[in-house]
Amino acid sequence: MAFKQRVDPELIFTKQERIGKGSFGEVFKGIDNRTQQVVAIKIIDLEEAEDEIEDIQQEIMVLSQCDSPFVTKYYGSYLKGSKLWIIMEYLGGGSALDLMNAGNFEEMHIAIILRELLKGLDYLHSERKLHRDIKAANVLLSEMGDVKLADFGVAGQLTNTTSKRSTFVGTPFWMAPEVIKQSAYDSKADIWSLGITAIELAKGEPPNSELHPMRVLFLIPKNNPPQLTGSYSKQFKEFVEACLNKDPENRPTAKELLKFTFIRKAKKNSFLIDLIDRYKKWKSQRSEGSETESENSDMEDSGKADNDVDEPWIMTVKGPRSAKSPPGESHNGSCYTCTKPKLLYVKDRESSSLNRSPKIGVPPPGENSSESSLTTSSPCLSYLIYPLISKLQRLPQYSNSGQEASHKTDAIEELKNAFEVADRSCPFTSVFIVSDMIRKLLPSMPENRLHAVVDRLTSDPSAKSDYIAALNSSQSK
Amino acid sequence: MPLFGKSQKSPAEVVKALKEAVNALEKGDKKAEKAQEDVSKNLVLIKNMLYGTADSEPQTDIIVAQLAQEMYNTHLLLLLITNLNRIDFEGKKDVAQVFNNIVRRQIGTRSPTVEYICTKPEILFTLMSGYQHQEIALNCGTMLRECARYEALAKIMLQSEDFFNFFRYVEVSTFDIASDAFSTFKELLTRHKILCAEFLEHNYDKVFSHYQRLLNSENYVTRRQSLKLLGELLLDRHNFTVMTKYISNPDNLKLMMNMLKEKSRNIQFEAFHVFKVFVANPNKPKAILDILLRNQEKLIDFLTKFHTDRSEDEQFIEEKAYLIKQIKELNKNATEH
Repeated sequence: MAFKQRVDPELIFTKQERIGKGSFGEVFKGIDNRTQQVVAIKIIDLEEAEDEIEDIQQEIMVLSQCDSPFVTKYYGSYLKGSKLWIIMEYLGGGSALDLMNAGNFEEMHIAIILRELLKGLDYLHSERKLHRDIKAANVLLSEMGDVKLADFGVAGQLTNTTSKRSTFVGTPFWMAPEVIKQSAYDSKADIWSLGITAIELAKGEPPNSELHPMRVLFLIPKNNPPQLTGSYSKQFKEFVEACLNKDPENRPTAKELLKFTFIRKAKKNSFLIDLIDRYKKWKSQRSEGSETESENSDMEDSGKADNDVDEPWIMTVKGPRSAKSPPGESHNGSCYTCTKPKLLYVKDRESSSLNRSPKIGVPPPGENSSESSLTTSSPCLSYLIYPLISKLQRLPQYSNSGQEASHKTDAIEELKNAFEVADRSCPFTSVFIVSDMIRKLLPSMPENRLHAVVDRLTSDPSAKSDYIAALNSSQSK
Repeated sequence: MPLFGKSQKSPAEVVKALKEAVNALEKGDKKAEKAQEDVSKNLVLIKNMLYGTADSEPQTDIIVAQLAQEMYNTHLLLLLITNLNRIDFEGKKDVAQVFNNIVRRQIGTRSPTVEYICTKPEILFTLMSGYQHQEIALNCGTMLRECARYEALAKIMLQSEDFFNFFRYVEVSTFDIASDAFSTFKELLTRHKILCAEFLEHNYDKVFSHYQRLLNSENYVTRRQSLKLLGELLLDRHNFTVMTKYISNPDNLKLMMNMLKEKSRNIQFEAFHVFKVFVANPNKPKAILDILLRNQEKLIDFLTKFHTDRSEDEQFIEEKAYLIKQIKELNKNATEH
């Protein structure tokens, strides 16, 4: 048992060229020095990552419990300083999204890919796991034409107590209506995303891709489901239609979809090698330009952090000065850019801000302004609604254990999510609700006072934080 | 229920078959391969009784009750987890699923399995020691966290000497295991507020001397996560007594002040949320006050420049302003006392 002893991943693996990057960090090709096996190394700097460490741990947990030929294999993770190395199966064929760069897919290819995806989903769902971010970019191919599900950044685990989840994750264009509406959802949400992915594989882009993702969030629940139009076979269209049923109950399971004619008639995986070769050729023709482009964006440290005071604190009257604070290293947030940013990525805050009573809604380090403006909560939420909800959650009837209490906590969590979504999709909804409540309860209150109250409740910067007030009152007694 | 094909085994039969198969596996003779197969097969049968499959609903309450009773009578749960390392990959997961389902079982407000485990605490200790074995650590973790949801079981774990092994487990070099152990550790220390507060109060010295090591760990994740958890523990009102004790110790203040200057911004930020409690304390002991006074100018300067880019975190900005104000006014307070 390797207690304490540090394992240095740089000694075990030889890092080679970078094969991808995303909002999570970078992926490299690498060699396991012990076995000469080729692996993919995903490196996340936990110091820079927007996600809470717990979320990354969750992804690893889900991955490590998967053992299926249709899901990218996980070999282990190593920590080096603040960098986490996640070692995964290397898939040399590229993602389905990459492969589309070299030209459209034929229906024959799409059927094979969908069949393999369904096998992966069938495995995950039988394990009571959800993927929650099915899209062409997360479908990886081996050089032999094996198709595997990847990127469990948002994968969730259903337990028996919560057999439906209600968190808002995924990428808007591929999201199922029930996910957007924050209703409870289950494995059927993945089936919707698979339907959208089917259209993406056929057309090169998901439906509505010409629209702003925020707008899509409104349209998906409101509109009729997208359809596959154009000169495709009846079976393919049927398949897509079955996946894209707005009522999750009416969507077939992965197992049932495997029996659809479109899927049963699909050919052997080796037919996909054509696509891989075509892509390789395409890539080599334009490789020079893109390579220099990808090198440029590597980390560049600039400047020092503003708070580095190198002088040590004076801790004792005598004795040597502590040399504990080495010169600060800068941690500039933009060392990687996302090719396709996760536009909406609101996490279950259960584990972070809510339980952490005095810190409400810690915003992510604002690396990407378009992203943070979407995810940061309004003052009304962080000052009024969230504290109230946290308070509710701490009441004995909610914070006790037991099934009943956990249902209640879930209900409260839902309430919180609902506020979050409302404010996100239409700013100031919560302010509006609050002011209207006051208006209803105190009809005689003059409008200007009401404004003042609402102002104070929602954005007063001098509002004392919970803990300081509590601390003072309980100690001064 | 299938009308044709294999006839349905009764709960007693499945439990018996599984028990025999695990025993054979334990012996490890040449029939081991067959035993492995039987273990997997019977585990799946039990899992399907509890969860149902795509084509069949879970079994009726009566059947499940019989199944659970058989498991208690034969001590099957303990047998399964003591032999967990011998069971194959999918089988290990099935054990965890079956275990968790049985633990959650309720009759009215009673949780019979929880009551059963209270009489058989070896189950918990065996699961906790699972963190020492790479191949079963995460499966044991899943089961432990399920158990930790029940106060009676959390209490047994917290009050056992084995709990202190978590301080080692959360720091092991295998990231997955350390992470999993940390989430169980956190669950045990935060889930049942009153129980946790009592535990921390009664074991203050022991817990915090161990905790100190986590805060000083070489492992970035251990340091950051344990600091964050410390903040959560201290700021939970149930832990008021513990907090008061913690913020009266000048060594703790020194540690936090040094962590404010760590090179990791995340650690600085977490340290801020512990440091603020020392400053906000209206009844600062002299030793604390002395350190703050001695560093008064530096602290004001430091805090003024501290994470100025967090312009969207209004609460942080406020708290920082409050701390600066408090530190500026320190002298006056000192003369008042």
